[in-house]
Formats: sequence, C-alpha cells, structure tokens
Amino acid sequence: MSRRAARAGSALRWAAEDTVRMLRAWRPPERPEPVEQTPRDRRPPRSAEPTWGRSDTSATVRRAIQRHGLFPLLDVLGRPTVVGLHHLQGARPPLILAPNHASHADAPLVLRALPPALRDDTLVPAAADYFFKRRWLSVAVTLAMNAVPFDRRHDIADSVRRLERLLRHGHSIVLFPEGSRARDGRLRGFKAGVAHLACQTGAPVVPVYVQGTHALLPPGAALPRPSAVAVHFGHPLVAQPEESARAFNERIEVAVAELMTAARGHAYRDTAPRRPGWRERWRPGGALAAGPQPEPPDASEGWIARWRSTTPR
Amino acid sequence: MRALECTPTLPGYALARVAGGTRGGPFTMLRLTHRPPPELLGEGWVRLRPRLAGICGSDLSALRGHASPYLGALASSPFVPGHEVVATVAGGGGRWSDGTRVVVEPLLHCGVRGVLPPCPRCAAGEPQGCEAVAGDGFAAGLQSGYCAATGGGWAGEMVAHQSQLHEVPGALDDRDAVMVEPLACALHAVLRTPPGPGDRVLVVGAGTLGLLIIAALRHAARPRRVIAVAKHDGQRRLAGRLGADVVCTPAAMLRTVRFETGARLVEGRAVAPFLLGGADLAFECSGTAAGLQSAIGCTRAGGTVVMVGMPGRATIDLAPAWHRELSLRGAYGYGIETAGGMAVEPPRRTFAIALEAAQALRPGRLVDDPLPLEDYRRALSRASSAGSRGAVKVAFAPQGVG
Amino acid sequence: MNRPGTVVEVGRSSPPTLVHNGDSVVLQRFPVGTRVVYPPDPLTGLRDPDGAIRRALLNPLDSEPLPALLHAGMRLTIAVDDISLPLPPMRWPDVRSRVLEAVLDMAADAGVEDVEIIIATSLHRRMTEAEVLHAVGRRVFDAFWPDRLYNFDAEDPEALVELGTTEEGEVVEISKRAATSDLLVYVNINLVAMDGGHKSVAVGLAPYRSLRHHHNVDTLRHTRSLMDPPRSALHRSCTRMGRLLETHVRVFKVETTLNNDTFPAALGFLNRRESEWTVKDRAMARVVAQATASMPPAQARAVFQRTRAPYALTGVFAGATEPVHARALESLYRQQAVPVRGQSDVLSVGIPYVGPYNVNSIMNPVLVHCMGLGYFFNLYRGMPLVRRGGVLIMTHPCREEFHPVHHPSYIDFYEQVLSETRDPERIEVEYEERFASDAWYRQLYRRSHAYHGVHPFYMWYWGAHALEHLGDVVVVGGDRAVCERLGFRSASTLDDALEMATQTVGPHPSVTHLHCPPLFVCDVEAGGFEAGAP
Repeated sequence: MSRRAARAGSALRWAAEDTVRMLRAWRPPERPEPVEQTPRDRRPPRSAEPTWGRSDTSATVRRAIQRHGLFPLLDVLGRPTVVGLHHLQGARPPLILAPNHASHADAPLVLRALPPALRDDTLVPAAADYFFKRRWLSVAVTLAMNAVPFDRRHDIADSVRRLERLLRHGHSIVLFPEGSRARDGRLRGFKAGVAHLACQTGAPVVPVYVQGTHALLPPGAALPRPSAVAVHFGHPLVAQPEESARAFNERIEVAVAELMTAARGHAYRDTAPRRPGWRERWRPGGALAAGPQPEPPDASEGWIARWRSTTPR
Repeated sequence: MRALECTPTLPGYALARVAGGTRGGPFTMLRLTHRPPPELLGEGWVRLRPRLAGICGSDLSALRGHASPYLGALASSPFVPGHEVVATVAGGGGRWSDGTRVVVEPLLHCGVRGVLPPCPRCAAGEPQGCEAVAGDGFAAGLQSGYCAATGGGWAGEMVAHQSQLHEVPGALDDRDAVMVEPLACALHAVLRTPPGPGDRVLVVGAGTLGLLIIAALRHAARPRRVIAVAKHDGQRRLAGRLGADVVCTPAAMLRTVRFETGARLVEGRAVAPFLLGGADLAFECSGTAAGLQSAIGCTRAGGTVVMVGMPGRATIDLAPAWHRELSLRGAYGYGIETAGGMAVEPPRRTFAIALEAAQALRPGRLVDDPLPLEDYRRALSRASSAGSRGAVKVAFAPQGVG
Repeated sequence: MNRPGTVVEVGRSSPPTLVHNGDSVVLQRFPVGTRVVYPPDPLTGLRDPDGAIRRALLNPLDSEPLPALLHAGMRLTIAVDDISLPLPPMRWPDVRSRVLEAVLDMAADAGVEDVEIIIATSLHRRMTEAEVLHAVGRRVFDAFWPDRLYNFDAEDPEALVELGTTEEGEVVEISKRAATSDLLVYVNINLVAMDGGHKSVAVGLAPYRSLRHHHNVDTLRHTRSLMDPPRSALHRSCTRMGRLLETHVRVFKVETTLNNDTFPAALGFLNRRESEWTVKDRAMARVVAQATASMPPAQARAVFQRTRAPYALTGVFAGATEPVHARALESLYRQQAVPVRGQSDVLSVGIPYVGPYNVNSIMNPVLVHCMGLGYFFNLYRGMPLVRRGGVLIMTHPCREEFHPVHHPSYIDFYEQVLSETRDPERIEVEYEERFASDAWYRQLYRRSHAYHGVHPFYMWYWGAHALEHLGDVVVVGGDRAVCERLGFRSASTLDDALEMATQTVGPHPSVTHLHCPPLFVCDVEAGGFEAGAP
C-alpha cells in the first residue's frame, strides 16, 4: 500500500516538476524591477502588529497549510537535506535563527527544517514594506509562516524593541542578519541587529546556512527552478556577558561562513552543479574574504593546497 | 500592321508599378494597335517581317515600370518592343535579297545612325558603348525595340540597317535563331571577363541569361568549376545539363560555394552570413539586389563580379566590395571581341561567334511554343513566371502561329 | 542475482511493444511470432563506489599501485572520456568525477605538481564548460579549469607528436602532453564493448592522420562486429597502435562499467518489459508517446534531453591496459550479454533520441544511418542478428534537421556528397581528404563546438559492414526525401515496412526486434529459428 502511494507520489512529483519546468520555459519577457520609491510616496505600511496570527486557530490552520501545502511543495522543488539538527537537541525557545539570505525560499525552508516542537513557536519577522503592504499577502505569510511585520524603513528601533518583547515572551524568531537578499547568492556583510537582540535578551543565536536557494528561486525570478537545497544548522552561540554586539556579530558571521565552507565540501557530492554566474567569477574572493570560493588557478601556487582545502568532510 | 506598342505615360507607369508587378497583372503601358509600318530611314535600310521575337527580362521590367529611369531617357516613345528578333527580309535592302532569314543585332550605334565621324567608342570598336544613342541621326534608342523610329520585333514589320543583319545558316531553325541575341550577350559577358583555367565561377540566377552564361562558359572558356544558383527545379535541371558542375538553390548558395571553394563562413550580427574567400569570378544574372549582394558576399578578395542581368535602383551594402577590392563590372550587349578565354583572333563580331556557338549548343530547346501577338497578355504573364513553370524563353510569332 | 536478458515471442495476447522513435516513442504491434530481445535487468551497483575505486587503484592488475607510480616532480597527465559517454549523460556525480578525485587525492599526497587533465575528444566536438563541469565535478573543475583541464585539440600541430609506425604501416600520433608525460592515466567508461582497451588512447588522443588507418571502409567492413573486439579489425589496429605507444609512455588504465539502469524513475517504463508494466507505467507510456508526438520536435527533444541516467557503477578495474580491458569486458558482458538463437530475415530497431554524437544536440539523418547500421546492427557477437541479404527496419522520423553549431560538415556531407553517391568506397576516395583539410571546418572544430570535418565520413563508414550485409533498409515514419538521399526506403507504418521487406526476403519473414535501449549485446548462435507463422 505504502509502496503504491510512494509510486503515485513520485509520479505526481515528476508531473509537478515538469509542469514547473514548462511554465518556466514560457516565462514572459523580463520586466525591469520597479524603481525604488521613497517611503513617503507610499501608503504607510501596516506595521501595526496583527496578533491574530498567534492565536490557536491560526496555529492549527498554519500547521495544516504547512503540512499539506507549503512543505510538500518545497519537497518537490528542493528535496531539502537537513544537516546538523543535533545542534538543536536540548535547545529551547527563545532562539534566534540566523540564516544567510539569498531567496524568499529561505524562511520557509528553515521552518521546514526545524523540529515541529520548535517550529510552532517560531516567528518570521518579514519586511513590512513588502509583505505587509498588500492585505492578501500579509494574510498569506502570517498564516503560512507566522510572519510578523518588521518595519525596516520607518522606525527600526521600534521594530527591534517589538522583537525583543516577542523573544521575552518565549517565541523563537528567524532573522536574517544580512538584512535583505544577496543578489548574487553569496554572503553580504552581517548587520549588528541580530547580535544586539541577542545581547539584550540573552537568547542563543543559531547560525544557519541555507544552501542552494539562490538557484531555486533567485531574487527577481517569477517561478522557482527545481534544484537541490540543504539547510545546515550550527551550534547555538550565546553572547558573553562583556561582549559587544559588534564582536558577537562577527562571531555569528564567522559561524555562518564556516557552515558555508563545510557545506560546500558537502555540496560536491550531494547537489547538482550550478554554473557560477559571471559575478562570482568576475570577483574572486568577493564580499567574503575568508570565503570558500576557490582562487582562480594560479600557476605559481600549484593545485595541491587548493585541492586539499576542498576535501569533503 | 499589327503591333504591340508601348507608350510610357505617367499614369500608365504608376499603374504598372502598382499593379503590374504582380505576376500576370495588367500591362497598362502596352496595347495592341494597328498602325502604318515604320518608314525606311534612308540608304541601306531594310524592311523586315519578324518570324519570332523573344520576350526579354528587360522588356518585362520596362513594361512593369521596374526598369531604371536611366534607360527611359535612352528610349523614345511610343516604341514597339522586341530586340531578340529573327526575321525575313521583305524589301528595300541592297545586298539582302527578299526572303532571306536573318537575325537582327539591335544596337543602334553610330554606324547604324549614319553619324560621321563615329563617336570615340564606336571608333574604338566598342559599339555597345556608343555615345550617339540619345538621338543622333534619328530618335533616341539604345536598341531596335526601344526606338520610335525603327520599330521592334513585336510587330508585323520593322526596319533595320543592313549592317545590323546576320544571315541565319540553314542548320538553325527559328527557335535557335531567336536565342542568338541573348546568347551573344552571354558570350560577350564571358569573353570580356574570361575565367582563368583554375577559376571557380559562380553564376547567380538561371533564367535565359544565366543558363546561356553557363553554356557560354563551357563553350568559350575553361573554368575549373561552374557553380550555378537556380531558384526552380526546372532551371536546376537545365543548368546541370548545360554544364554547371554544381547546382544549388539560393538558400543553399552560401554553403555550397563555401564547400566548393574551401572558404570560411562568417556569421555576424545583423548581417546575412557571408564568405571570406569564395568564387574567383561571379556572373550575376538575376538583376536583383539580393542576387548582387550574395554574389558580392561569395566572391574572394580581388575577384570580379560581372553584372549581366540588368540591375535597377537597389540598396546594396558595398562594404564587402570595398574591403575585398572587387572588380564590379557590367556586361552589356555585344560588339567586337578581341580577346577571350580562347583568344579571338582576329577580332570578330560577337554575333558571328554566337551564330557559330548556336549551331553547337542548339539553344532553341529553351524556347517555348510561340504565341501570336493577340495573346500578348498570356505570353507576358507566361514569361513573368517562366522559371516556376519550367519554361525559359517565351517568344511571339508576329506573323501568326502555324 | 539479476534476471538475464531474454528473447520473448510475440503472442496473440501480448501487449504492444514499445519502440523508440527519435524524440518520441510509439507502441507497436508486431506480427505474432516476432522475437523481441529484452536486456537483462540492471545489476546492483557497487555499494561503496568510492571505496571500490580506491581499492582498484591500490591493487591494480599487472602494475604497481598507483601511489607507487607517483612522485614529486613528475609529469602526470590524466585523460578522460568525453561527452559521448555514457548515454544518456549520467546523474550527478558522474563516475569520471569519482575516479578523478581518487586519482588526484593520490597525486596530491605524492606531491605531484605538474598535472593536466585532457578530455579525450579526438575528432568530436569540444565539450562546453557546463558539460565539463558535469563530467569532472565541481571540485576538479574549480581546481583545474581551464588551463590544466581542457579539451584535446587534434588540429594543433604544436600539441601533437608522432611516435612511430606499426608493422602494418599505421602512423601513431598522439597528444604531445600525453606522450611526454611520465605517466598517462586514462579514465574510461565502458558503456558498450566497443569502448576502452587500446582504443582509448589510440583514438581519444589521436588526430586524423592517425585515425585514418582504422577509421576507413576497408577496416570497418572487416569489423564483425564493433562489439566483439577480438573479431574487429578496428580493434586489432588500435591494439597494434596502442602497444607501440605504450613503448613510449607508461599508461595506467582505469576502466569502469555501469549497469543498464538507463532511465530515471519517471520514465521507468522504458527500462521494463511491456508485459510487466504497472498501471502507472502503461499510463506514462501513453502520455509520453502522445505528448512527445504532439510537441514540436525541438520541445520534445528538450524533454528527453533533460533526463539523466541513474546508472550505477558495477565494476572498476585499474592497471595495465590489456588485463584491465579483459576484466572490464567480462564485467560488461555480465550485464549486457543476451543469448539469441538463429538469425532472422528482418531486424527491427527503434532509433532513440540520443546517440554518441548528438548529446545535447540533434539526431540528424547521417547520424540515423550511423545509429541503425553502425551501432544497432553491430550489437552482436558471433553472427549478425539478421541473415545476409535480410532487411533492417528502423523506426525514426528522419527529419532533415542538423545542429548548425555541432554538425556543420554533416550538412555539406548530406547536401554535396550523398547527393552524388552513397558508396562508402567512392566517398572515401573522392571526398574524405577534402573535408578533412577544409580550413573552415578545422576552425569550427578548434574554436567553436563542431565535430571535425571528416567525422560524418566515419558515420558513413560505421555502416559499411551493414551496407554490404543487408538487402534493404526500410524506415518506418521516415521522411521520404531524406530516406531517398540516405538510400533507404520509407514506410508509413510498420505493416507497410514488413510488406516492403517481403519483396526482398520473401513471404512470411522471421522478425527480430531489439528492445533497446537499455543497451545489450546479442550472442547469436546458429540455430533453428523459424518464421513465426503458427
């Protein structure tokens, strides 16, 4: 019985993959990204905090949506692999999950990867000026991901205070230290907001590296492209009593970068190759000096050191 | 006398340009008339009764209003078209006895016009370049068939100077004879720009002229390869039979020439692909801009492109011609050949060579069943679509059929 | 224990047989009594492929272990098979990347600085960056591309060296880098029995001047068959050349064999016998047949070209060329051999969407000729599947379609040569040299991604033995004009094709159909197979 179900599932998955591929092929011509408007030209975003999203009814609906809609979709598109869950054993909310940010698919994937017990209490602060500007979208993200508005334009301090309060109430949050999505799939500089929150509340920060979402759904893409993704969790970090937010922020950044390095070794075996975009090749080293990006071949240096540095763990 | 008379009026021209371009459309500048036969123009002029008169590509473009206005200035109206003529002598002509079968060499040069002393070109033995054609002696006209005074072959009668006549040997029938004029054109083109023995020659277009160029190349020169480009199946078959080594469609032209000459094919942005390297010599026989453009694009640097088909106003990118230092030359009419692939020694008139060649080539096989003048609409539309219908040369029988 | 390949007779209640038809498949009803040859079931792959590779490198056949051959300061060249293997391209990670990583680990441990990896394209097209990445893996690619990992260039006089002449007068010329290395490691994928052995280096790293000694009509007419190296003049010639070049350069051969798990789960019905199809298989077969038949060819092609084969490694052998090849062939035949008794009057094959020379490309008419008469006809050991004077029925749409970048010389071969003659001998004498030396083809081969100018000739020669052997070739569903150009006859249906075949082989012919791919090779013995009329 279950084998038949599995077969039917794989047929469905194949059909879904194929449909998505076909749809991708028929994408309308690309439109230029809308010009950024200054905040005062816009309708003020709904930063007023909807608390209904955290009600029991909403939680039940959310579980149903996630289990039967969002997560199967992610499984079809990305076949997510989860690495390092053992680091979360014994961890209790409130936690701050700090993943790198390359795609809108990051937050749902992190939720997908979390153990259900942690997941139900986890909130996802989302850009108020994007996700909470349109009513249907705000309802959708609130119901599907337990999103809360995060106003990064008007009053960041206020938003941060609100998150602080939520953390103190025992909610975990998924907060992207990079602030917004990296356009080329590499790490951007981390902002100190996450570290600051952790220092204020004492909540542990879990470094997370989400791999492959840039290929799955790059910024600007209308439809996702099925490709393998993985979520790597690192060991939770706790701010030392005397540690400054800036120093702690650096620790977080290094932890995510290390996860990324490890993940790339992992990637050599687990994920299909992605051809590097021209920007990656244009700027070897790029934003992250200690990054795992191999240097361009240099005849004087030889290949052996580089080869060793990429040995899978 | 019945005649097809062409009166180039402005409205007629406009209408012809708009509507006549379509295959079998109205030929608004042409009408069938009854008019007195043309007068003999003086001493040495002969009265002729055309037996067959061919329809030339240049006639069609003139009637459709597509010919260059340049040529309009070198004609006088109203004129009776028809310069590919085989006729019977019908009085008036000194050493020509009545009833002799002759072909007409239609150039109206100084010798014919009685201009003395002759213009420098005629004096130099190049009557096709005569400078007196714009009206010295009698009405303007490059050739019989474009001149109001002499009449043309598409009529019951015409007049010609005795120096224009060549007797047709008994071995040639009328159909062979009516092809002598275009064959002379082809021979002239080939003999003026003879290919060397190692040359690979490209012939673009396989209408009457293109096919005869192929035949002339085989008859009067020794090129290494002849590559012919023909649009229609029938033309391709004939081109092969007349001596082309390789025959291809216009679409396959570039690849075929590339393959034959070992050239390099270049595909650029916003430009049709072209070759670097290519044919040593190209004969453009279609008279179209596309034909000329592709001939230029398929000829090697330092090569020669000969325009045999009558070109008109055209938009052509001449950068390749400049870059390749091409010789771009015309080939018009016929005259006196002094050199050639086979050295023509002593100088002989092209028509004399053509009459000889006609006996070997029998070009009459390219001529369709002739039509009477009354059927001129059918004849002209048939001539316009000759290639696609498997025909080559359409001719009138001005004295009636049968 | 996997189930061996078998011959099944079509009965009255048999389901229709699946036949590949270019970028589509059709379900065809063969006459009762037709023999359908099915491949063996896939062998189970090695459980730890990386470990198996390492063990093979450490315990080679007739050679010291690889680490013992590596030392600092040496010149090491690694050559790998190109895009033509395996078919279709295999799922990530490609077996080549596994072997390369193992070899490079050892080279790194030994401190070998001077390492270059050459993709042994021979006269095939250069592989694109993405294709190379897929074949060698991200890790190798990052470390070596593009200056130490590159496509072989058979038209670079600077990069070639002549090593001598065999006793039969064959000039042996190969890549200079390979010839002047202290060790040449060649990484093979033996998809069919034709691959591997001395053919790898002697063909993969050789230019036209060297290849012409065995890639010619005479040799291929005496190659009976390509899948039976001992009875193949081509392989004998390669062996002579290979032995000569091994006196100049030390060759360490790594040959790998795969199972025949050719199609991914979604297209699993292509791997299975029709009588064993599940409901889902049947539905998928209908859907795929209908959908691909109704799509524009380019789109149908795109659908198939996205499939990656889930091949698994069944054997890896390393060491001296000859013992390694013998073991690799053994392993290959264990997966692929199917015993067949007796020849038949008619052989039927469906030409699939991909062959060795049109990966990510178009199966053009010349390649159809090569697939049918070169490869499928040659899937035998012993005697051909079809009797002398018999008929080959292929199923393929045979469109006049060429990939302009990959196959420029094919277009001219089709247009200029085949319109003149189809006789391989005449073609060889009159045209081969000209195509081989054409400057434009050479330029496209070296700088673009074109097959060499002479490559279409080899496609034609590949069918030379079949052309001599067969009485007629009929193409079901083939474009009439194209078939005429190729010297085939086209039939609109299988019944018509069989009817046409009777004109050559007489009434009530015996028919054998190859249910291929997945690939196999038939061991044909003399025997009493009679026409199937019950």
